[in-house]
Amino acid sequence: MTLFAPDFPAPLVVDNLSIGYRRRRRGPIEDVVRDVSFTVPHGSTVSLVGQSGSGKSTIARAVAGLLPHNGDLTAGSVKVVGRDVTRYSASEWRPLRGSSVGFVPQDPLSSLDPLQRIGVQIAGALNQASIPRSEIPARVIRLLEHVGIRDARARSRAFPHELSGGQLQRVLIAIAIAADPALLIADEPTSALDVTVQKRILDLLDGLREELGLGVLFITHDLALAQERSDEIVVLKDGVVREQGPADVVLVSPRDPYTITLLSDAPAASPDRYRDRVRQPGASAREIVSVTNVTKTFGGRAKADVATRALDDVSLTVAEGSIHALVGESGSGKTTLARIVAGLTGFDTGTAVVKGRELPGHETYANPFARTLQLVYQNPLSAVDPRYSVRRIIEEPLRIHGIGNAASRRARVGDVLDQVALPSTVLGRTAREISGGQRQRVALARTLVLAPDVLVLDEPTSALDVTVQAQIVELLLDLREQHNLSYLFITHDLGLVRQIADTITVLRLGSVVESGSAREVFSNPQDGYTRELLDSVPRLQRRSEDAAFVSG
Amino acid sequence: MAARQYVARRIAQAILVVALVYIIVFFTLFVLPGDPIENKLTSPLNPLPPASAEALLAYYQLDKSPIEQFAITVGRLFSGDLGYSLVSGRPVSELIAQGVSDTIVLAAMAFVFTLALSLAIALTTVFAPWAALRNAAASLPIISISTPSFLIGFLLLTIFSFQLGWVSSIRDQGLVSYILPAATLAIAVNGVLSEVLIQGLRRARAEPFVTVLRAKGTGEGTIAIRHILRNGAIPSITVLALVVGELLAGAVVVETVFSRRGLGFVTYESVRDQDTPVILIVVILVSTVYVVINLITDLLYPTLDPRILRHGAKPGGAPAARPTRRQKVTA
Repeated sequence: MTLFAPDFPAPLVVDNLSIGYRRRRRGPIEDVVRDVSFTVPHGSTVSLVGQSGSGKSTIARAVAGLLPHNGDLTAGSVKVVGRDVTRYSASEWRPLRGSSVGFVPQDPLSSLDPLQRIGVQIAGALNQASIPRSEIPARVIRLLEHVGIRDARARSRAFPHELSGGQLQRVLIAIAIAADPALLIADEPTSALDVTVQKRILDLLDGLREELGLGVLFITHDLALAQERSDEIVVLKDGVVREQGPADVVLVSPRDPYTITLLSDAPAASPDRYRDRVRQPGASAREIVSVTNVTKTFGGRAKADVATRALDDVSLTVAEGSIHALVGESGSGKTTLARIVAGLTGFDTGTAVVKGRELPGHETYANPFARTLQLVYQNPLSAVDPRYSVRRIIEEPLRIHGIGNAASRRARVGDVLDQVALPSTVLGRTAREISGGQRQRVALARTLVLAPDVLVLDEPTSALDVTVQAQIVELLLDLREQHNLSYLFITHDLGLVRQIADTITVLRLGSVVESGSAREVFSNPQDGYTRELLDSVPRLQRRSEDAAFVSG
Repeated sequence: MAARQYVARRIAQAILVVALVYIIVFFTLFVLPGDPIENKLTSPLNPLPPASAEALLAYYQLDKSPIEQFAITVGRLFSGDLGYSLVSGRPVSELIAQGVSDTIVLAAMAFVFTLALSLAIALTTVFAPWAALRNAAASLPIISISTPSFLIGFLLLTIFSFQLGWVSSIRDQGLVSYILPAATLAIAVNGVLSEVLIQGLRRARAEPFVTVLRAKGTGEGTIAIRHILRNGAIPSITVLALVVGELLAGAVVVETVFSRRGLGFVTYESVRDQDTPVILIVVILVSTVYVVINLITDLLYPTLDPRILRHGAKPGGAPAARPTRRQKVTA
């Protein structure tokens, strides 16, 4: 940036920084980040990339002075706009907040006080910045317009729950830039948002960075996003830098084995990873799930305008032994459709048939075809009883259906445990005592114990790190081949869809906008919305191949 | 308007509850076999002179059918006649009026003390800078819940009246005389409210919006009072209604310990003497207060939390869950 003289201090300089937490009060400090150095210059973006537990969020918190009470900087230094803040107390930090460092949080839906109008909350950021009181209302409106909120004057009087996730993130960005900071810290700012919204929010951040000469510290787990949006990348694992350098160099020709693994596990980087395992169901393939012209309206009793049409004349079929991906953004009706197929939600018109048997159409308290079709949820931790042992979790469906005796059930649990490649040592533990990947395996084992034909998987890997996600995907493909399973795979991760799906249905606001063979839809999308969806997905550029690939 | 409909519905429900309570209590007390009024009035142990007893027997018209008796009593109720005590022969309205004025002051003072005490305990538990102080404050609610009010009253009397002599235990000193019984009630009753408030504050403090407030430079004091307290206190509004109920129930014991002639004492006496007309009115009065307080808290919610009533009125409980967001796609 030519705006700044070369000797003007960089927004952020981190030098050999180590950060530790006290696990117990008065206990020893254990380092979770060791010896990290990087610089964020004016007008450029530095990404901290890593999986959960890599320390990337801890670094973001530490350089913003937002570490929890039991955390501390144990070595090295942090300089914000030339000022050494390493040993700053909370009261020393306060004048820097907003005016030097702006913070964009991860979850916009819970990051604003629900009881205050958004204009008041933006004004709160201006109050700290010694701006004359009389100017504040006008400044609030201007900030809202600046971050692309239409009808800013009216919107400033809205409460947070009246805005969408994307709008809330814009408001939070307005708060972050309100007092003209030099440094913006964005901690996974779009991981709670849909992909098209993500693109618009990141475009906004990029525009502000250029316009205001901001230094941006960007925290993400998404390699493609990091490459697309940053100048420099720092790859972290277990609190240690594994590789760092210009974005193009690090991700295009990685040297560290960990970066290489990370890249190969990211669906974005290897769309053809499972190419030989994708099937094109022939015309002769039997339909195992077929939904025809299903319409579902929620809350239709009171007034017509209150009713929300969740699904409008939706049809799809899953061929036996195939993976059918159901793709769409939040509010598109994906999960409603999944629940309809499982018989847990009723529908108004149309028919739904699972393995030749028609679903009743009204809501049922339990999945009526549990032995044919099972659901796998996004978050396995909240989908199992936290007090149950793994053995009891897996055995429960057998008990419910009164299958076998104690000995045969025990044997069956051992079988499915082998199928999902879990050691028998986990049987005595509860869900909280095993890792996230193991939990999703347990959730799979619980569904497999009844030997179903169809699994409806609702975002089964989106809570997992890419490496674990890749392992679960491998397992799903293995299981399909061993048991001739069919999957209805619900996801927003188009990179993953491209890797594994045979057929695909794209939903938008309750309607099917496009469907067909996954390969055809990806290579030649017919609908404008599908094209926008595909364009919004960040791409990962590899050295040897010139083509850009899609990720999630 | 959805809001007006909601208010009307809640008020109608409240009236219905009071009416039902009245009907149930009336038939339980008056019309059960072995008529309690007749037994009481004709008992040789009754202190009333025979002439008065005769007059009351005639007044209650016990020879009529239960339905007719009920109709007569309700008719009298609407014309302001609450009946007569079977023990003293005085009008129930007089007895109640005497007790209520005393108990209202006591309960109001106790309510204020309870609020102050709960706030102090909860804020100390959550925000105090020293762990020892936090832990000490955190243990107070459970002590409050598990200590009977007569014991607290007795301790306070011993210390402040008998030992220190600050407040007379016999003489009426105006408002000063209310302090010890009100403090007794507050100490005995604040436990549940404090506990709910502590949980609410802890949950609100862990919300991501606190980090954002901190990051934009808001002071810790403002964050604690204007944001964490406001958000964290919403669930305890429900408990306020329970607190009022407990204050009225606790008044029976406390007024006895402190020898005050309030509503609690009237309740105690009427139950002891099986003075059914008085019991009926006391029960109705307490349940009305209880229902009204519940109504007020229900109507208070929407003004405290803008998320309630926005989406076609879904009020009632604590606003734990955010309204579902169906249109997240638009940026």
